Amino acid sequence: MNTIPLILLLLFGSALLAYFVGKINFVLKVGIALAGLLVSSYFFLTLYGLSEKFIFHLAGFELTWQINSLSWFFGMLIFGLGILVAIYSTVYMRGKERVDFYCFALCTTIASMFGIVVSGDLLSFFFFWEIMTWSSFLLVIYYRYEAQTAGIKYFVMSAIGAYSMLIAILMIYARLGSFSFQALSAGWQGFSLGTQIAIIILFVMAFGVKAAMMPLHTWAPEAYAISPSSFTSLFSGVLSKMGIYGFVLLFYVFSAGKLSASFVDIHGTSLPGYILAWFGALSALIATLIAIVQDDAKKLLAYSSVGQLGYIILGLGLGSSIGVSGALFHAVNHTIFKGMLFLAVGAVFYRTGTRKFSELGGLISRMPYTFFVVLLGIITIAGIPPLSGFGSKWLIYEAIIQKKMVFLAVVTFAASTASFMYCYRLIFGIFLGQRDEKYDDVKEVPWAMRGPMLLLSLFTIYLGFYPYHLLNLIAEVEKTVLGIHPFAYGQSVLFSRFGSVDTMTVMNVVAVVFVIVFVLFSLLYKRSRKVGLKDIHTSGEIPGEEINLHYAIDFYQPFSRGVGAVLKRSADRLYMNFASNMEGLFDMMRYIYTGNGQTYVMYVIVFLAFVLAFSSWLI
Amino acid sequence: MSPMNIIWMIAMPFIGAAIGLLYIGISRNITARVQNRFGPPPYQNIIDIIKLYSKKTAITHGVMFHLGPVLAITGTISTLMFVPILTGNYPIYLFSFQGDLILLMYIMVFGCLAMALGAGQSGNPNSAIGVSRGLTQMFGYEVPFVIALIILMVRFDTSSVLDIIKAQDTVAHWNIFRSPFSFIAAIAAFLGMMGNKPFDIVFAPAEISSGPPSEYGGKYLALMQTNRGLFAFVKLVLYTDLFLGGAGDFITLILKTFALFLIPLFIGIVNPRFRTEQAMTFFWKWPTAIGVVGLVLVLL
Repeated sequence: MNTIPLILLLLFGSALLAYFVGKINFVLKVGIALAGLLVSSYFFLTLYGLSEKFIFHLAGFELTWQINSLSWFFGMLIFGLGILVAIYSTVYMRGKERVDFYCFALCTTIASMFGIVVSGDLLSFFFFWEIMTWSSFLLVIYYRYEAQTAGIKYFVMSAIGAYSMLIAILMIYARLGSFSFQALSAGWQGFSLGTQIAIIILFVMAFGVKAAMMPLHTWAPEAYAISPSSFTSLFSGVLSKMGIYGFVLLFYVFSAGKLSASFVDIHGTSLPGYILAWFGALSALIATLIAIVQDDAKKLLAYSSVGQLGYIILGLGLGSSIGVSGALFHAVNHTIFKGMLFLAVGAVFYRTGTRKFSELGGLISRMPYTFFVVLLGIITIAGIPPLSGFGSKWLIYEAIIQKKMVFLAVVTFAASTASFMYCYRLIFGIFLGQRDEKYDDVKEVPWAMRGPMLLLSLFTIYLGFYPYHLLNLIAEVEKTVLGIHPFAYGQSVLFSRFGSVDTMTVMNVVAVVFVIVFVLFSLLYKRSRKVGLKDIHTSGEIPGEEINLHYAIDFYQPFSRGVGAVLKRSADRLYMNFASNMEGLFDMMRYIYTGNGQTYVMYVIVFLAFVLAFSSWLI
Repeated sequence: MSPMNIIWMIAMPFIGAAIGLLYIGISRNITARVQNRFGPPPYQNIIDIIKLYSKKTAITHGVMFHLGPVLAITGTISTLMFVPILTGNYPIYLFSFQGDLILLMYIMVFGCLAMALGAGQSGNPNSAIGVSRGLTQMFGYEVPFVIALIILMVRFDTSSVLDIIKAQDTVAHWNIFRSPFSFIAAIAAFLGMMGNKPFDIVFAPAEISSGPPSEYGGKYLALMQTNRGLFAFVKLVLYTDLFLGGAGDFITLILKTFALFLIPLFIGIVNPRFRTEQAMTFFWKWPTAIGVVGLVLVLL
């Protein structure tokens, strides 16, 4: 049997099995889901480097499922994070209600995402895309009533995306008579300019919703905040990448790099790509500014996710090899650090029951492993060397500056600097500062939750040393699928036409200096005396032990005053106003459809009178 | 790697810290003269640090508190390693072949954030307020700073500091004259980076009892002060490299860096302190506007 349908069968099968058999006990359902995932990812690993096709006919349509380096690349993210999340869930979800439902939805989501990346035609792509939407919707509304608004918003936005994709697909089918990607990339050139623009806009809307691109991001903060943390990391880390995968398909596979032929070039980038890059950059900046003032850790991460996806979209829009490599590299990084951070915030929630910075604080000595994970996570997310986040951001910046898009570069750099602020807020609010007494005996989470987080942090350190292995994979994708000539890079050196950076040297310099200073400082001077967090200098006034001086409420108040003009505006409110205006408009219908039988009888009589009066003309 | 290079690698942090601290000592003298006082001798800061290092006890609040200053100076020394210090006949390049301006921009922040983390664990609300102010201000001054750097990178079509130095072979070719807009934007950012008044909101001794370091004492404070001196030196050298054509020998280096050092000092002496949001938005007004003019010019 072909491997691709086997993997899909395994995943969907384990989803159903986990749901029905799982009614019996907890271990069984989690075990089935986990086993299904492990076995299918084993089969997935055997697909490395192959390009297989599985073609079958259904209802008169030819459906193609294929694996190539691009689908393998995204599949790697799906299975990598999917397994870690499943392991984490075994403890996180224990004792919660409806675990069978959770397992079912999780497996279905993973299966559908894999389905998306192996789809070789628009029909199965759309089919799996819809499965992904509703299965993730089921997980968003896991906490039923409190998740209602978030769920509805997610579903409405996804539906808008899905319908625009459907229209685009039908437009393509009407012109080409085929759903396959190959026919599309061959026939793209034949479309008129208007059709090309329409298809691009419709697809960008569809993919933009899933990639939470501004201004289509409004579902993301609430949906991320309310869904179970174990799933959120998959949601943000991988599910949003499906939007990115869509963008890659649209700009590099469907149109096969022919966009610049039909559109104006700006700084060597086709107009659609340039506009997309601006959307990405503005998403990065605005979402980062909003993230800074959040009080809910998961909302902060959600907005940060929107911002980081903005970088990826920006890199894809640029279109040069270095930009696309940066974008794909950042996609992997984003999966890693968003996985780490959402899992870590989930771990904190698991132990303390809150995600609000104003209620947490000082957990560093109680949850040191989680702290370490968050520390590495924020270093990566901020793009500070020597961890892997720097490599991808470096590539994206070099790509922008090479194209001389100076204003784009300024916006991107500003967004990146602003991200330091929310990074600090995240780690300070939860782990540093003074601890409330009620958290004095909080314990570190079990190993099944620690393990996945620590494993992800190892990845970010490793990629910080050697971006080489990942870049090889990306170069393979660019060569075989995207038709871009990959840029030069060495074992650990990243080159651009502009400059180069040796990640290995950076890592070594930092490590060596740190070790020397640390040894000299800590071991030669053994003169530190540990005192409690409440034993601080307060200018003579001694607050009682019970008074908590954790500075967490309105942490960046001067900042919010300074950028108030930006924060005041909200795409969400705009849509809500639009919706309520529409509701008002449709309310006018009530004057016609009153629900009163007599009115309807009157309509019928008026109509009949009308017909009678003018019947002579009609005949 | 030549033995000479290795010796410089080991010696440079010490030399840099000494020069930086000496500058800060001189600045205390200058400030004192403006205020009609005499002030301490220029080497007072170095004596203070030696005293602090030899203190018998130091109080720590936890692991991150302990690691904060260590990581801060790690970041600063790492930054130093990627900045070309001398370019003449006896060059000191250290590792600057292996990194470029974008790396420098990011690795410069490493130390600041590490210090912020250390200060965060001290449990003192003043430290946290200081950090919150510092990051806010950083967001402000990074905007003109990146504009200035982008102007240089696009103009010379390179992001390597060494190439930018090479392009400034004569005095007339110094970027201060060739790209004045970039220089003005960068100097405005420099005011924020150096933390002299009116941008000393992070430490603000009279408001938040010197902010982030308020819980640090003994060897920790000593390390933080060393870091302060070294970091000042690194920033001065970087600015010299970018705008004043680098330096061929130590005397030129000292002259140029000291001239740069005086700019924020003189502005600071005669100005009161900004409020935090003013300190942030200040950078987005004139410095950014001038920088944008430079950006447009460099594209033409």
